[in-house]
Amino acid sequence: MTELLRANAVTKSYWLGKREIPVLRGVDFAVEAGEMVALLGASGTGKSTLLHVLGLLDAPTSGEVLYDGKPTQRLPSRAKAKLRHQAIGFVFQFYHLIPELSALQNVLLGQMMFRSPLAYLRQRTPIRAHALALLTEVGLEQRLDHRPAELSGGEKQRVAIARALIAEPRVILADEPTGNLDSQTAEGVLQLLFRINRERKIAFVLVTHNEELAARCDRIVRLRDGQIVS
Amino acid sequence: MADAYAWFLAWRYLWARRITLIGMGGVALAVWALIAVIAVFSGFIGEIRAGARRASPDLLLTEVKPECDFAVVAPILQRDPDVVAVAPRVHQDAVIAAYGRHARYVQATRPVETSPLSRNFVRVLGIDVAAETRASDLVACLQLRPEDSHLQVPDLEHPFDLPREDMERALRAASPDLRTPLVGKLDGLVMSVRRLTRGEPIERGSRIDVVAGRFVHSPDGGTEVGASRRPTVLTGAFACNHRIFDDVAVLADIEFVRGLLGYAADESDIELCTSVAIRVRPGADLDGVARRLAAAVHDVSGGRVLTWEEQNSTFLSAVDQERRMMKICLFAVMLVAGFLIYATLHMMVMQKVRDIGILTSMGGTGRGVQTIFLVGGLAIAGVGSAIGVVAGVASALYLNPINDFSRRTFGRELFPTDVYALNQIPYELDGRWIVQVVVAAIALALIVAWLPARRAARLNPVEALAKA
Repeated sequence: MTELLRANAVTKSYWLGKREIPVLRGVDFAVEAGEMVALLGASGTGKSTLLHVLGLLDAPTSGEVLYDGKPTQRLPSRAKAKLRHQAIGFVFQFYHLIPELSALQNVLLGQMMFRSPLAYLRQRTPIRAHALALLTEVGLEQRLDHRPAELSGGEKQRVAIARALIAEPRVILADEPTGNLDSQTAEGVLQLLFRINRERKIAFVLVTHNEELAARCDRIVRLRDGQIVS
Repeated sequence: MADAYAWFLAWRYLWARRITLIGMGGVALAVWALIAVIAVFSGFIGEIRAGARRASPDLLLTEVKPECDFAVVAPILQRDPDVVAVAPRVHQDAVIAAYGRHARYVQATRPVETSPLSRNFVRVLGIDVAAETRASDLVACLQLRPEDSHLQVPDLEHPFDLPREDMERALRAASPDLRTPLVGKLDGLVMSVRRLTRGEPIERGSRIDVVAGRFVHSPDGGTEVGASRRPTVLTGAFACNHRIFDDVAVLADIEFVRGLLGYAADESDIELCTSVAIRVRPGADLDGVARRLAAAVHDVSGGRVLTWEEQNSTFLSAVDQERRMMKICLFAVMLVAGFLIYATLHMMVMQKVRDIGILTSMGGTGRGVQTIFLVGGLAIAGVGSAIGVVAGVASALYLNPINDFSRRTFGRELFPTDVYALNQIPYELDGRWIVQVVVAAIALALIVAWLPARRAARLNPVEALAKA
């Protein structure tokens, strides 16, 4: 398997006034293409911070993040944004859909990035067909025009998954994707994630507290006090 | 150009928020006010300037020495290659008393009953009609609108005469208070339509007495006050639509005014003038010609040569100042609209912190996020300006019907036309001004939108997601 994403000796600290709060303390971590990695740890151990650093949303205090073996920290912000758009998808615990948009529009939004309005209008038909196919794949073909407020938690998370898939990323960073769902709904969402991993060969980094869920992944990485312990 | 999502989201955010209507309404109101009010002011100033132009010659030699002889001054003025024509004028401040057609003279101790005049003091301006026609547009003010035709002088070339029958009737009507009936003909006087239509019940053919005072040499070598009283007849009216001129001036034949001052042709060997109207070649530099003429007549008559704008400088600058002040006030309204846009977008950024984090996680850039809010400001200003322009232009075009409706229905006028001697509310729609207003509104919107947009662009996506 090829290495997709790597964190080398990554540290991350926040400052509370003059006091330094270290969150990540020299994390070395790699994600292979198509694998499902569970990032396990208690609250406050730095799981989400590591996810944000891997997703290029936040810069490490020291160390480096490599994508496809290439360092990313010196990339200009637009190039970093493009890499994030094309290669990395995010799924959040609280779905983070845009409330003014319908399910379909939330998914289409991803295809409006790095396209001029004219280019988007020219390619609108295939883009829309792609979005419809994704929403059908996650079981929401009947809820296309519903806004987030009109969807259940599980449906919202499925829209978020479709949105993450629209740009056909190589890795999806999922931050406790079932943390806000009841167990039955959560199981449906998890099955969907595993199916996508299996069928599309998209790598997943799944942040969770749940040992059972972690056990179903290809690999478990445990984080304690900002350090990987196993 | 920014990515498609920025335009799409800007549109969706604006569409979903009623508060944006307040911003659009504020811009529309400001643009409407700027266009409508300035259109009326510009029209009003245009009318004022046109009136001033009619009432004032290109150049006026004025404040000349006493006993200035037109026969001496005129050839000097006419020597200038830019001077086309000159005309003598004599003015004299006087008191007038008007007699209505049915006024009665009451003998004994009671005073003469005269028609009430609201303004008895006038400046009698004596003109030589033929010369004045060549030297200025004043005589054109004798041609009245059809609705004032009852006050029209019967003969434009001889405006101070009446047809014989009318004159005889006027003489009979004028005679009752005189011990000896008047015979021959009366000197004619032309008053402004404005004066005659503002409640003074005198008509063409009415007698008007003119009383003028002057200092004369007394037998002991000193001076004493001499007064002249002359009966005249109202032969018609003029309308220059220059409020001050129309309110103050009455026109008479120059020989009549010279006679009032003791300089009638048979009493004096000089052609008295107190000012000279001068017409210059079209396109000539008025200031330059004025300077040359003033220098040329300096030793003969003294005085100053004023351009038509200088003759009305106080009036014109007052009106212009009013317009400038109005523009400043209205731009203040636009500033308020700008604050509305700022408040709208600032609130939107505050509410959209989470969305900004989401967009960044999807590949959105700071520039794209900034564009969302700049486009928002632009759309508010653009739509508001468009509404304001349509409303402003429509208001200007339909102001007179609206004013008529207001007068008929509520008994109130939006703009009291009679105060400024106007028949209708004038307006002037200047395309350049409209463009300036729209550009200013959009520029202001972009400036005030830039602050919240920059704030949005600089938000840390991780903090934005955490705040959500």
